[in-house]
Amino acid sequence: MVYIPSGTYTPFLSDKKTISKRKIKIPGFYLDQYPTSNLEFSQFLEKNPKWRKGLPSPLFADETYLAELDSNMLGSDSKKRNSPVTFVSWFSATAYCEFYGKRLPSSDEWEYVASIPPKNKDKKFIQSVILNWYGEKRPESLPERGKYKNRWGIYDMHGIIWEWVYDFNSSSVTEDSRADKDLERNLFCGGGALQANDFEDYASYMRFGYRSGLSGKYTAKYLGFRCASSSPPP
Amino acid sequence: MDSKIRILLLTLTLLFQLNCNEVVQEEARLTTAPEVPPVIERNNEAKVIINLETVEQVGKLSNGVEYTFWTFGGTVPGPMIRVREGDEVEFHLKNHPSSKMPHNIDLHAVTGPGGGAASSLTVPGRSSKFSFKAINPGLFIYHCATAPVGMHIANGMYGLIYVQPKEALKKADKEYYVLQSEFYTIGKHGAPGLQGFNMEKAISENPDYIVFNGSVGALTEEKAITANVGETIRLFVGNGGPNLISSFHVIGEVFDHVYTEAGTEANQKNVQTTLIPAGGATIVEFKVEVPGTYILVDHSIFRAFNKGALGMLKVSGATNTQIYSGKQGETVYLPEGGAIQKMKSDTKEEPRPKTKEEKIADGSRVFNAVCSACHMKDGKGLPGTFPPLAKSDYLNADKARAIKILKNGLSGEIKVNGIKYNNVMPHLELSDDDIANVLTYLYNSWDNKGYEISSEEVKRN
Repeated sequence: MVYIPSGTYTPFLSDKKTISKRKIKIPGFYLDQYPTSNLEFSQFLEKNPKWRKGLPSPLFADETYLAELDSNMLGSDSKKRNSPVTFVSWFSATAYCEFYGKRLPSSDEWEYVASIPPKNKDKKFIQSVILNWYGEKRPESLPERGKYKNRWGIYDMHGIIWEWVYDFNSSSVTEDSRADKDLERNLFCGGGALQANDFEDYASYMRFGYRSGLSGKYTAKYLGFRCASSSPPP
Repeated sequence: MDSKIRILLLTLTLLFQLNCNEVVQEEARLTTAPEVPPVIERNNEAKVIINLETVEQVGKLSNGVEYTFWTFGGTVPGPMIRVREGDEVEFHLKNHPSSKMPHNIDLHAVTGPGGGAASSLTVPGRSSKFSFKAINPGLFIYHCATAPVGMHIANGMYGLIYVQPKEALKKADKEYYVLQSEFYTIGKHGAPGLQGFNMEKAISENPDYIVFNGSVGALTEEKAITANVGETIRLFVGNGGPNLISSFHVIGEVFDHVYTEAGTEANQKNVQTTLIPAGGATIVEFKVEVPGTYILVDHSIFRAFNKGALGMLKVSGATNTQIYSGKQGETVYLPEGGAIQKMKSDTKEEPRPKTKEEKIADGSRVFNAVCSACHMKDGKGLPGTFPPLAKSDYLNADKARAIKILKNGLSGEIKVNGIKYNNVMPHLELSDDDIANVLTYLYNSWDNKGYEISSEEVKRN
């Protein structure tokens, strides 16, 4: 894990109840250098067989859970062992992190780290990495980790997958989550312009939009995770 | 007891019958552009199921140019949907598991928050369902409205839904679906290979491609729409945008009727060009009387010939010279003399030689346009940088040298009126006449020696 120094970050979406451009103070924490790989997740499954494909309750993982995880991931001949694990639900990702004494990062923590560009690059560069990812030809299987490195030495916050965060639906739940208000309407169409701090930060719109559409049991081809920790790793 | 049961049974039967009579359920047949779904013949309301899938895939934008399209139904534009006014529509939006992006749908035909968008946000590998009643008839755009909405539209997520009025339009012989939209690519128009989306160009509304039905050439040559002489054509034309307004025009046709902005009234007759707003549509109708190829364009005309906004309607059948004669003859048009004349044979009139005064007048125009920037209006030049032409010993000493300098330019050290100059005078693209005139002007100004230079003299040197 890499120590992330404390600092402030301006969230992309402003809070309706506070002034916009509010800065959030992020205390220092630890973050996995890479998204969790197929190999690492397979090792977790060895010790936690109840999370194997087909076993978790449908409440905790939907039918495509671990769809692209081969059974031979532990073998050295697998080409996908160093690619990020995907088709994982929020529950399974949380279980993984907890097993190793960690947790999922909060969306603020995740966005804070994701906003740091690589050495000698600026924010525009991050946008180009993301836009290229959107537009590229889709590979047969996900590439190995290590395509993109930011200034703090954290890899692949952009360019391969989306990642689960602890509070993935915090931008989507309104005051009364029982009503048909479970989606943040302000993220749609023109409404999106009302709350955003940076109108050109299209990638952030997309991430918040993506997270809003999730539910804890969902799994998807481009959705993986990495773990965080408030205290030094064991 | 007996009667109670009988009443209960009767009530149940009645309820059952009512339900059966009321609910007609059918699945909508979606069509790929330029095909339009068939006219709905039923006279009752129905429950219509629509299944639409979002897919992200690489496709052809132009010859040798590929693009990662985000699509409804795997095509750009997305399929056309037809329902009838009053129908209850049950919409199933499925996001293909291979997608990277979340998607949703905003149908402009929907009355309700987000046009369905708020209820249809769907992450990859999921399916969403929502229902709406088609209360407003007309032709409507649908598009993806997931943030950032501009990007989803710019990548190809739009299509048309036609809510057929209870009283259907008069039957047309041919109906076609045409949709205009723009693409913003990293490379310039025509740059080959897989082109990415260019955010800066999209924000500044400067597209590289403006196309009908999703790609350059999607509606031309063998993919042209067709009709026969005498048929009436109805075009359902949408504009997906994301930014530009279309000046939709069919070269060589006049729209007999236009349903402006795709409202339900044929409110205009005999229209040449009709505006289609971004995120809007129009319905145009016309009868084709003369065979040939008719070109569909956005009459913001550089879009048509430089960015791809071209389509074709090929009409076959017998010619009708009553309406259009074809070419009946060709003559040369010369504006002199008011009448159209036949081209004369090659006799060219010898131009009259100019007088010295005329040369000086012409030469002064050349001087002011070409020379005065360096040599100054008063011909005094800038000492040490640009030599003087006024009372110039260098100029007056050698006519032939002056002619050569004007023909070829000059570089290197010279001495004028006792001052050294080492600079470059570029070769100027002046005609022999211009050189003769400007030199005559110079020699007859500012106490110079008054020579007259002829074009022949310039030619000789």
